[in-house]
Amino acid sequence: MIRLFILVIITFELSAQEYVPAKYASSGSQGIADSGIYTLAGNPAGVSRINRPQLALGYQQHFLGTDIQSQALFFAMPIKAQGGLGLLIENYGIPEVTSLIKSGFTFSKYFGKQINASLSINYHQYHVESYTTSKSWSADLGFQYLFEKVQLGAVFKNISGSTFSNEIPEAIDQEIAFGALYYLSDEIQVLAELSNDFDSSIKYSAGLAYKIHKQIILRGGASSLPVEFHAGAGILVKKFIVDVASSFHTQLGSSPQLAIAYEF
Amino acid sequence: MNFKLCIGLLIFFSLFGNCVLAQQEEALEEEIIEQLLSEIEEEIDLSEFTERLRYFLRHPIDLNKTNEEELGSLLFLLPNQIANLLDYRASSGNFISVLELQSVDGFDLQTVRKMMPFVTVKADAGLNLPSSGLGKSTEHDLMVRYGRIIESQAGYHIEDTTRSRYLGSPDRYSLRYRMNYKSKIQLAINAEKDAGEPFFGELQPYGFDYYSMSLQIKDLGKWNKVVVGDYALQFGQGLVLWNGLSFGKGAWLGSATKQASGLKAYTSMNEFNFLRGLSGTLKLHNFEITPFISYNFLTGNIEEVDGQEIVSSISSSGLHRTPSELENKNSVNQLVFGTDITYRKKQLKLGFTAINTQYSHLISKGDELRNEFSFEGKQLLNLGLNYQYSFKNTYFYGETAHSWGSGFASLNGLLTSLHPNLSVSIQHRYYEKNYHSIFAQAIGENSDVSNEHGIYAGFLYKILRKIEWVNYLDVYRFPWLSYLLDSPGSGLDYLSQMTYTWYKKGRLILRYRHRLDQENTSLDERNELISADLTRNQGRADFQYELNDSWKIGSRFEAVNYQKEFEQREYGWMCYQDLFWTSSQKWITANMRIAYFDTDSYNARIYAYESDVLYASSFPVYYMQGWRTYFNTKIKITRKLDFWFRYSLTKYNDLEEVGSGLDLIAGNKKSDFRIQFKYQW
Repeated sequence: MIRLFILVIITFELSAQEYVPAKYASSGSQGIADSGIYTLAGNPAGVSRINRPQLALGYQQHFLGTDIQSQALFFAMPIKAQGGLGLLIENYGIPEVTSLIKSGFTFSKYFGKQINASLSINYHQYHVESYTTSKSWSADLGFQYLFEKVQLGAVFKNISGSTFSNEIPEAIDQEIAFGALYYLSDEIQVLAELSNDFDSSIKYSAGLAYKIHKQIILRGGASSLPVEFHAGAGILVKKFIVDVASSFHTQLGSSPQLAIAYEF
Repeated sequence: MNFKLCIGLLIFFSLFGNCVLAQQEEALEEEIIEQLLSEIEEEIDLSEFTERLRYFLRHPIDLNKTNEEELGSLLFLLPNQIANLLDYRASSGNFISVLELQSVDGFDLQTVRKMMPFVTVKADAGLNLPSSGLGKSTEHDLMVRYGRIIESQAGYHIEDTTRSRYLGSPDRYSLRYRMNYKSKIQLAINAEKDAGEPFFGELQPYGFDYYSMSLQIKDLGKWNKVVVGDYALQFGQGLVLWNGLSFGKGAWLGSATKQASGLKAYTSMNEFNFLRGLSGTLKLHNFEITPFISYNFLTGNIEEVDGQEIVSSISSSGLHRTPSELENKNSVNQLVFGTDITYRKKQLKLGFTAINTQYSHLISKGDELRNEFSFEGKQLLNLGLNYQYSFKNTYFYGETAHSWGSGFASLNGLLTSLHPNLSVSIQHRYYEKNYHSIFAQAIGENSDVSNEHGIYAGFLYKILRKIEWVNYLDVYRFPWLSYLLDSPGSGLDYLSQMTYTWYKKGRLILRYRHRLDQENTSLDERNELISADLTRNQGRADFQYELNDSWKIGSRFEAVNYQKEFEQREYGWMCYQDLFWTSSQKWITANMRIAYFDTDSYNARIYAYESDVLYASSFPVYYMQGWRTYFNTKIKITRKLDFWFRYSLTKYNDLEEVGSGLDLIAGNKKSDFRIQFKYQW
């Protein structure tokens, strides 16, 4: 049990608990400047302008050969003349051993044609089987500014600096992140982001999305802390969008993931 | 631009281009070399590349006859650009003008401008006239160079015959002769004496220490090309066979994608990594078959172990100055034979290479643990399969190789233009720790192609017509122990470079490079070596501007910081100012540099390309504190005779001795000069 616990501590340190949906994980970013249902995980201001309700499910296997997994459920719906509402429930851990659950409710609003803003309230629960359970709350603020070909985004996560109780070695990340998305052409999007958790160095990431076919998008990118390459694809099948992605760490191997979204 | 104007421009460039372009030529050489290389051995000869560029300047490539290998050897065209050009010619017919290149996908104005001096479109290819002029069928070039370090070095003054010492004089001599008959028959002869090597006399009765000769004949019946003497072979991605110069990752997107040139005559002064014997390329329908055989003498250190003579190391320096270097000269015989079979159909190229190498002595891998999986034996067979295929704007390539009885190596990648302004390169390499090769040179951190897995990704983005931004990230690991690292290791290499270009006037380059590696270190409280992270950050600003037809300036500032974990951070910086001058009639050109450098140590060293006499390369390392200056000039004495002179001086602050060992100089100065004549008829 102790060995398992140490493994959990190590792996939590190694890969941030925040779940990054396949759409963004495939280009190494968080989607800070993007829009759509998956921005609930990165910058919820991105659901301000959705047109129809959407539901999505995501799953990630952290480094092949380990049991560490993430699962996520997303739901977003528009509010007429206001913006959007969002719900995100994500779990990170080893089944039947440990779990870190984050449930977030988002209210997102647009202002004019260029500004989006959001407030999210999150409930966190950290559980280690036969050891401890701890709960906490946090809040996130998101912001986006839209130009014709460029979108800029900023998010401040855990603005109050909430933590779990003192006995728990796990922290709730406080993070500030900035992102830019550039539409180079109808087929190509370029993403670049930087983020900082006030504890370690600045994390950089950059990626590309290339629409190779009207139903298929290929993505790739790289990020620091740790340095990883990312690659993936998105496929549109009727009202479903399937995104697959994987990160590639030189020593730990790959972390594949899958997400499916449905637009009502 | 109408058609007549295009033709007019073309005629103007072809008539008057050569003299005007001489300076641009040097600038382009420098640009390409600095894009492809960041660090290189000081004495390496890059003439294999520069001589080829100069050759194309005098004998421009005919766009209607050229092939992939020839265009690839220009070294500034991306493979997918070459594929697009050949595809354009196949689908649209022969080129009417060089300017038509602008209609080819992926060729912007800057690329076309770069190509202009090297390419042509012959009005009637059927006449097949030599491009250098009517009535002149054979060209001869003879070049003689002399140089030496002016200060006295310790190795020349040792009287004690039991000690290592230089047996020859500090003078350097080299001789080059080239004969070219209608570009069909080419003869090349090189001879060189390095500093410290004996010249004639008892120790070197044949005069020069190194001789090289090659005779290349083209279009000999079904044989595309035959080379007798010294030759180089380059196939696939270099996992099996890549003789001559090999460039690694650089600030050019195409640098990670090797463009093999097959068989060519070896004309370099580098005294290692070439083949000596006979080879030819036979063309049969869609197949090109290149059999080869070579027998060469190498410089090896031979030891006797258990009554058997073994080779503990083979030297690649080509230096035979001391008693032991001379004793080791020609001590190991190497027999190489094999073949390459290449199949081409439209955009597809498939190749198979087999090479067998046999030595007269057993090559030992040594006792160190890091060499546990290295090659040991007298014979090695390598087999390789390579491919390339272009589809629309994407170029796929790769090679997989096997060393018989041991491991595999594989490299695969793609280079694609997603948009006229955006190109992307992705590559994966996987070299097993027990893959053995003698002539492999491929992308990687280690010089031998083994014990390395890595992913490389880069992109080139033309932000505006004048601004280019290149980035690459290479992440790799070594599954087994490596040099100076007694454990498996990993690392990364990131480069970002932005270039602003003033059309035909100048450029500003900003470059940042970050490298992370690992190396052994010892700590007081630990008894064993542990691995420490080694970080190196490098920033550069480089500016060049042509003030008028006669004057050009260049400036650079570069700074480095180096840190080994558990040790203090070390810094280094360097700045220089260059001045280039050309006389109004172009008979005299001259340039000079004055540089100041200040680095904490050799670890924080800085490399910078220096202008040199024709076909000589200077890529010195700047470290410690002090000044460096050089003056380089070329005088066109007559139409047939050129003269070069170069003098360089490094003066160190607060230093009483320069260099070490046999190269030690008393005092704080080191200066060097060289003179060179070239006669063509």
